[in-house]
Amino acid sequence: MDALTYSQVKKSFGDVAAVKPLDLAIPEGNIFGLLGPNGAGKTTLIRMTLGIILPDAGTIQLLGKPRDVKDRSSFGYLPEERGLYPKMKILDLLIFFGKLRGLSTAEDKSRAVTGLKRVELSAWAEKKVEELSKGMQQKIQLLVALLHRPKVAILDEPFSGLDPVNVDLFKEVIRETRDSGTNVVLSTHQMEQEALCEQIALVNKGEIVLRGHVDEIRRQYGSREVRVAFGSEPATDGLLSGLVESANVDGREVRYRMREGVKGRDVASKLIQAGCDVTGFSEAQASMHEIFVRVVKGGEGHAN
Amino acid sequence: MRTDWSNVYAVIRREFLERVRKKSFLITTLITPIIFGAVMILPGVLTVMKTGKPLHILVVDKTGWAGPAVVAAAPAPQQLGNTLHSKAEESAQGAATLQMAPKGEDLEKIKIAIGESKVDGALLLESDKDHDLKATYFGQNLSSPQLFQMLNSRLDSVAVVHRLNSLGLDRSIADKLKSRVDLDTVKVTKGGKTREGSILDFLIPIALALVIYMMILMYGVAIMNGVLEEKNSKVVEVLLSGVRPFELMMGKIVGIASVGLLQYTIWFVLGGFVFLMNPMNFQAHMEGSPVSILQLVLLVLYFILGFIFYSSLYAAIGSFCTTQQEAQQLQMPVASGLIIPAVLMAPTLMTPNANWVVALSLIPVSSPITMLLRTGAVEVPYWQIGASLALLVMGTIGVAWLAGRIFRVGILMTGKRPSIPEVLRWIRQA
Repeated sequence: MDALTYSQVKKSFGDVAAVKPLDLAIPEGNIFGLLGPNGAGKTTLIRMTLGIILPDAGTIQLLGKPRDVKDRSSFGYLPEERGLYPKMKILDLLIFFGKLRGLSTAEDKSRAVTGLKRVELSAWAEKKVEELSKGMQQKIQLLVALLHRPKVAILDEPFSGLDPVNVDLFKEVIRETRDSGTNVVLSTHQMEQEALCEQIALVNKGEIVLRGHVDEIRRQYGSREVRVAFGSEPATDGLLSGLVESANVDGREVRYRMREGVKGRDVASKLIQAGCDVTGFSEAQASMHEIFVRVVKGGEGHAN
Repeated sequence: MRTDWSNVYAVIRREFLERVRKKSFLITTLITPIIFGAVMILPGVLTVMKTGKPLHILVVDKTGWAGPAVVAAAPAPQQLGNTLHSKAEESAQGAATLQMAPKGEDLEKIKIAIGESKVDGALLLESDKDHDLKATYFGQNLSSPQLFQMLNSRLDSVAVVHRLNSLGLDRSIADKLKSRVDLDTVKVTKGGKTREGSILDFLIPIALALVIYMMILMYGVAIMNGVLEEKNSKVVEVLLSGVRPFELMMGKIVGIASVGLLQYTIWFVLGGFVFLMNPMNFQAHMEGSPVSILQLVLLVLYFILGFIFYSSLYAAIGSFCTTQQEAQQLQMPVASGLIIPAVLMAPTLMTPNANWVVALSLIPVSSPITMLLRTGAVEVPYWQIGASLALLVMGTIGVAWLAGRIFRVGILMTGKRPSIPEVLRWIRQA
């Protein structure tokens, strides 16, 4: 079953179509990545999912059923911009949001305490939100989204403002959340975060331009660049002209840009068959950003 | 979509606890009555208290008969039935001593002494062409009405006796003629019941109306700012992923209203103590308590309804503004709905049954204040109270519904403030 199913969902603000009629199924038991640049319509899609705003048309289903607007405890939400009461004490704040999502008082408090321990903020329970650093506040925001163990947790740019150590902590917590049965939707413009996701959708200008398993997308859109190191003077142009469209020579190292459909190993075997003195060979990994740019520009783009 | 009351309750609880726990709550709760008390009681207390040494006034007598009489005269008897007033006057008596100018001290010399602050003032007594008394006061400070009231009443009394004497009447008869008539006031209520009128007849309705006025203004603005703060700090996004906008709005209104009620309860209890112990002897007037049960019930009803009415509007304004300044501007027209009936307080009390007053007491915008003023001033027909309350209930439901729709859209709007047509569209579409 799918965690979330969007069919023909659409939303405009005035003349601007924020989300064009869109179909998307987010499978269950996954960390699903919603990747795209700022202004692509990710946040609008999220807000519609949460019922904060209503779509102009189309339906959104939660676990195969029409989403019950009343039952908002099914969702957990970490918004892009921090949304906490600056003057509230951390523990009170967590308990307040837990209550709003239907937790009983006793359960609420024990989960808040365990949650704080998990994100290493136990010592701050009685401090006010405004006394915390940006990164710490982000941890609290994450707890607010997850404490009631929602069916779907939607995290909008969760890593912004975090140092690398805390990014790793967040990723651990997010994986644990998935393992405990919560579906995670991760929305970010930092496309390198795709590694955390099993499946992704690339969003651009209110449309989904690419969707699927990260590995498959990688395979499909693998890099078209190989790096070859030679033991002696490289002399290859004529040899590879059928396979590559350009060569960038840098001393004894050459970066070849392959023609469409050519695989790295074709280049390698050709060179070896010709008896070239190859000392190193590597295929550059295409970054998700590169793939995105290529998809958006119709496959002709070049990564910068 | 049904309202989830446990959500509303959670919001109420947070608003209440967070505000009551703040130090500023404690401070305003304690400071306000002190300031208020000071403003209301100090002038009275200061005039009652002997302020430093009494004024020294020399009497320069050119009549040959009035001087000693003015110095010796007791003030004319007053029957104002106003304790505060006569107390102040009494104190003015004590605050000045009159003394005949020593022989050989002429007015010019005394004026120089006044200029050098050696003497506070001089009272020149002369006979006019009809042999009647003419008086002039010389002094550095001419801004004490109490002093002149005192001087005037002494001069009146001396002059009256002098005039009567010159008509050949005996002094004892003259004193008799001088005495004033005592006017008592008796309040008549339904069924011909009567009780003695008191200053509280006048003060109670004003106090009730002011309580409502201040409370709505203070806490209405607090609600507006609270909404604005939630909107700007983006908490609202997290909240609305779990709470419906209407639940949030109602929770805020009730939560903040409870804070206000708590504060007012504290003030009433404190005020009660002061009332019973204050130096003006107000409790003498409390007999035959002028506040009826009906008035108290109405106070509570008008407070609750008026509060929801206005706070919904304030919440709606807060929801579609982005800055405090914007909100301040927009709340003016809303606040004027309260300010206008409050400004019209005096004519309302004087003509509580005039058509325009009756109209104001029926219209939901002004009824909380005007109707309370009227119930204090006259016996308002029950049908008018009923109609006023019914209209207010309907108005409140309408406004809350409208505000809810504006709130729902406005709270998530960022950037430019929406135009009026846009807001109207939200109301239709939301």
